[in-house]
Amino acid sequence: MPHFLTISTSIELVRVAAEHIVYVSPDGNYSLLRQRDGVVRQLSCNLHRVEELISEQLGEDAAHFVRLGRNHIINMNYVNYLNLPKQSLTMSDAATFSYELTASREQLVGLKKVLEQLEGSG
Amino acid sequence: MKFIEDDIGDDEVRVIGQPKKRKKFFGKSFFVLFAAIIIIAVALFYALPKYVFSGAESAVEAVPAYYEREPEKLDNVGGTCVAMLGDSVGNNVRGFVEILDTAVNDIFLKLFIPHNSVMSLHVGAINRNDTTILFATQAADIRQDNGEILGAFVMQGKPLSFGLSKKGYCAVIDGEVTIGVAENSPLFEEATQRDGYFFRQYPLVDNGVLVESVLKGKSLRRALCERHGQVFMAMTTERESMHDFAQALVDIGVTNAVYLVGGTIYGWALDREGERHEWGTWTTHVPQNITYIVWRRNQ
Repeated sequence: MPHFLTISTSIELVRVAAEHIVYVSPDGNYSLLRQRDGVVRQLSCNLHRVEELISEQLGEDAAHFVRLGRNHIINMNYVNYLNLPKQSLTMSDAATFSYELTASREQLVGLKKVLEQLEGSG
Repeated sequence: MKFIEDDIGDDEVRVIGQPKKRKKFFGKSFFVLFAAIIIIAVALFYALPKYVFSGAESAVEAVPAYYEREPEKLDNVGGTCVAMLGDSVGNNVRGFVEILDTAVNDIFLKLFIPHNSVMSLHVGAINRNDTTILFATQAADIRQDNGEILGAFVMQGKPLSFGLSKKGYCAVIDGEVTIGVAENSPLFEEATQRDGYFFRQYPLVDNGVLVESVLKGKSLRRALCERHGQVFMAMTTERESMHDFAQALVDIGVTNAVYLVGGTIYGWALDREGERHEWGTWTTHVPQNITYIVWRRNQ
């Protein structure tokens, strides 16, 4: 049974399986969630609240998500390419979608370390 | 107070869900826990009968009264996020201000909810013909003695005024609006470093709790409010006391609010159809340092 991130208000409900979340970005006091199918959903929570919900709802799948400073929450499964000098991060499944994000050098260094440790331990 | 404290640093990288290690069931902590349970059970055995039969006040407080019933919470939080006020609007919709009329405990309120827009501040006389402005109303007050802005004020990273005159504050940093109460807020510094905005006003609601104001008497009241992350302006349609106004904001579920200059101060909002809604009295004779909250459409 896949884990779903569910964000509900009185008039709408957003429900996305963990594997279909590519990244979440801040949008003022709200957040924008990019799905694998390219759809962007506006969430009525800020990035910090989304982080809490991911932690509460996604079980062990939450470990695939990383918070990059105040800029993004990304799904590590879709980190395809990162370039420190260019400060760019490509989120892609290498088949159907590719999104380019910008991040600080320090964030990318930290992310690179996390991914290297992950691969090393795996 | 920041409505949701975000403790992550700018360059920090944090894995959200770390796998938890399985702990030994009969570890050291198990025996500590077991001893604690025994001690609590013994204490309850002796203390509970005395408490139950003494008619303690707290034991009867939960019973609802027949005449003076406690008001039901307007906000029935059933999901993971609190329902937003107003319409849910897609990103592709041109920015506008939604205007809602509501009443709570005989206080009539107009709520101005901006959609697809970003908040900033403005200093000096405002151009009421500027079509990029969706919403404008006065923010900080002006000092009576020298015409300077009252309290700390930052305009696009530039500090224009210093000092604590009022404990409420509003900061806009990277488009995120934070309303709170603090004598010294680090957001002032942050606003100067990140091209942000900051002003001070009287606090009305702090973390869902009413803050008593020094302002007495009745007037048309306005406030910048934050309700579980959603930011909007509330205005009374009748002259009200600060206490009643602040209580009405608490009753509609506002988490944090600061006062905005009320009375006859001029402002306006553009609704979904582009129709202009004005309040106060327009005049060209305004102080040089008058300040406004301004919402403009997203780029």
